[in-house]
Amino acid sequence: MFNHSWLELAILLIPVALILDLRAFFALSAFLLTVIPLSWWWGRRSLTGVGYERTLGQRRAFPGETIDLTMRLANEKLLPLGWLILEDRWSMTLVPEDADLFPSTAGLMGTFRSAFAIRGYERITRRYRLRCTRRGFYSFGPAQLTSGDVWGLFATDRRVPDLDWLIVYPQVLPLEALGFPPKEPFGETKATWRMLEDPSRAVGVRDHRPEDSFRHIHWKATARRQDLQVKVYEPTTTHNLVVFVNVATIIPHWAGTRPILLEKVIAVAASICNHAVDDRYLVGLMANSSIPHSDQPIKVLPSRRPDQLARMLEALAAVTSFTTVSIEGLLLEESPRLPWGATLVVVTGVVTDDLLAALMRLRDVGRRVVLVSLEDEAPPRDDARHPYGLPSGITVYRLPASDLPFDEALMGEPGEWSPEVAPPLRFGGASR
Amino acid sequence: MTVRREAIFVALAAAEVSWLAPLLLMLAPVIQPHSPGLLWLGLLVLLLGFAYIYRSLVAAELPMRVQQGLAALLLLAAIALMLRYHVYASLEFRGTGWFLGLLSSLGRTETIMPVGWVAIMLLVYLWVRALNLARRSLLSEGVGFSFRAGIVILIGVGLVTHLVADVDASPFVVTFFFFSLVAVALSRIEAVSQLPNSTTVPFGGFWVGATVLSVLALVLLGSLVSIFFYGGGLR
Repeated sequence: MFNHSWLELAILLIPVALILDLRAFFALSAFLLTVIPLSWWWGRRSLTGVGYERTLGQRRAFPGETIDLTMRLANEKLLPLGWLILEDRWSMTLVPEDADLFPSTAGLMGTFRSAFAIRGYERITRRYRLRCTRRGFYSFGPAQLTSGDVWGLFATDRRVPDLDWLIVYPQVLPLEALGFPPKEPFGETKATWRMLEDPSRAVGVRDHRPEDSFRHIHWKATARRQDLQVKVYEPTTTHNLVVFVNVATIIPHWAGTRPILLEKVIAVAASICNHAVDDRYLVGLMANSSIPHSDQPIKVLPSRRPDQLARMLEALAAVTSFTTVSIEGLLLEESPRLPWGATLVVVTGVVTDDLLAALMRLRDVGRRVVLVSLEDEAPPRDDARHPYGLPSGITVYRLPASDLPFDEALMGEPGEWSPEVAPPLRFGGASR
Repeated sequence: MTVRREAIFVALAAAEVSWLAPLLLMLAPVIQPHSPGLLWLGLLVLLLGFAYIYRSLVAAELPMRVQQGLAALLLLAAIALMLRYHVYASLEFRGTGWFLGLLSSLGRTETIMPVGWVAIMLLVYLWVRALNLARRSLLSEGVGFSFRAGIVILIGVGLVTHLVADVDASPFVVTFFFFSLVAVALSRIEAVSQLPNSTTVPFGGFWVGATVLSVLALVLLGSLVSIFFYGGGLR
C-alpha cells in the first residue's frame, strides 16, 4: 500500500514545515514517519513463527472414498495476526465436501483459499473431507501464506514448499464380474505348480548324478574339484504373469484419446493384477505410457515383494493417456527380458493388425499369450472360439467396454500435478 | 457482518470530512469562531445523513425517476433548512425575505465568498460525495487508495489553508489518520472474511476491538512525535 516514496515525502515535508511554520505538515510528517515504519515492521514480522501443516488421513484410496484433510496453523509468537490468508493447491478432482476449490492457472490444479485470524501463541485446526472422484497420483501443495500488519497497510507472503501425495487407485472388481471364467482365466496353472527349477538362478553346486543333464555341469567347479559337479538351481513353484496395458484408445494413437475407455482398460488391468496376486501368481505390469513429466516407462517387474500389488496399483494410478510406444513394440521389446514361462496378458481398448501379428509371433516362439480386448464392436472375423482370427494357442477375452460394470461417474482424466513438482514414484525403474 | 461494514462506512466519511473541514474554514472565516470539532462533527452528520437517505431511497426500490426526483427535492430542502435555520438564523426574515437576503449577499465583499453560497456549494458537494460514498466498494484496495489520496489532499489543503487564511489543519490530520487507519484495517478484515472458505473465521468483537485500540495507540504515538517535531525537537 505504501512504498519508500511516502517516507521520502514525509521527510520532505519537514523543511517545508520549518520554513512556513506549518503545523499541519509537522503533523503529517510525524504520522507518516510513525505509521509506515511501524506497520512495515509488523508486516515483515507477521509470518515469523507461523507454521502450516497439512495432514492427509490416508495416502491411498479407491475412487468413491473420502479422506480427511487436516490443516493446522500455529502462530508461535506474541504478535497476533488479524488476517492470514492460506492458499493451498491440489487437484480439482479432489472435491472438498464442505468447502470450495477454485480453478487456478496450473493445469487441473485447484486453489483452496481460506482466511484465519490467529492470536499470539494460538493454534488453529480445520478439517475437511475430500472425495476421491478419479484415479490418479495427486500432489498437495506448495501452499502460500499471506499476512501483514494489523492495520492492513503492508502484506507479506511465504511459500510453504512441503508437498503431500495421495494415490487414488483404479477401480478393482472381481474377474468374474468382468466376464472372465471363474477358474484359471489365464491358462492351466496346475501343471506348473510342480517343482520347477529356474535356470537363471544358480544357488550352488553338488556332485553329479547319472540322471543329471550334461547342460547343468559346472565346468569350473568340476575342474577345481577334479570331479563332475552340477549347478543347483533355485526351485520355483510360482507362475509368472505380466500384464501389458495399452493406453492407446484411438487408432492412430496420436489422434486423441477416449478417457472412459482408457479408464476401463486400466481398471481391468488392475482387476487382473489383484486377482493374480490373490492366486499367488508372480505378477508384473508394463504400459506403453510414461510417468507424467518424465520419459521413464511404466514398468513393474514381476516380484515376490509383499507390496507388489500396491506397486502395480500405484503404477496404474499414474498412467496417463500419453502413448510413448506402440503396444506391439513394447511387447516385442520387453518379452525377451521376461521369464520364459511367463504368461503375457495384453489389455487393450483397440486391437490392431500389428498387435495381432505381434501376438502370433510371440505365440510362435512359445510364449503363452492372453489378449483382453475391450472393443465394443465385434471384429469382422469374430468367432466365439477364435476371435480376431487368432489361432487357438492365444487366449482371447472380448469384454465390451460398455458392458463392464465399473462406475463411470468415478472415471475420467485423472488430475495432473503441476510441472514444477516431481512425484516420488517408487515403482520399478521409474522413480525420479 | 453488517456492523463492520457500517463502521468502515462511517470511518471513511469521517476521514473525508477531516480534509474538507479546513477547506470550509478557509472559505468561510465567519465559521471560525465555532469549535473546529463541532464543525467536523456537523459535516460528518450531514455527509452520513445524505448517504443514508440515498441508501434508503435505493433500498425502497422506487423507480429511477422517482428516486432522482426525491433526491433533488431532499437536497433542496436541506439547502433551505440550512440557510433558514443556520446561516441566516440570527436575521429576522419574514416570509421569503431570507431568499432575497441570500441573493443580496452575492454583492458583499468582506468575505472571500458569501457564506450563503458557500453553504449551498458545501451541501451540493456533500450530497455528491454522499452518493459516491453510499455506492463505493468497501474492499481494502479502494479504501487504501482513499487513504493515500487523502494524504495527498491533506498536504494540499494544509498548504492552501495556511497560506490563504492561516487556518491550522493539524487537528484534522489526527482525525484523518485515526479514521483512515480504522477504515483500512476493518476493510482488510472485511475483505478477508469474504473469502470463500472463511465462514468460520472469528472476526468478532475481539479483533475489531484490538484493531481500533491498536490504531488508537498508533495515533497517540504519531501525535507524540508530532508534538516533539513542533514542540522544539526540530526547531
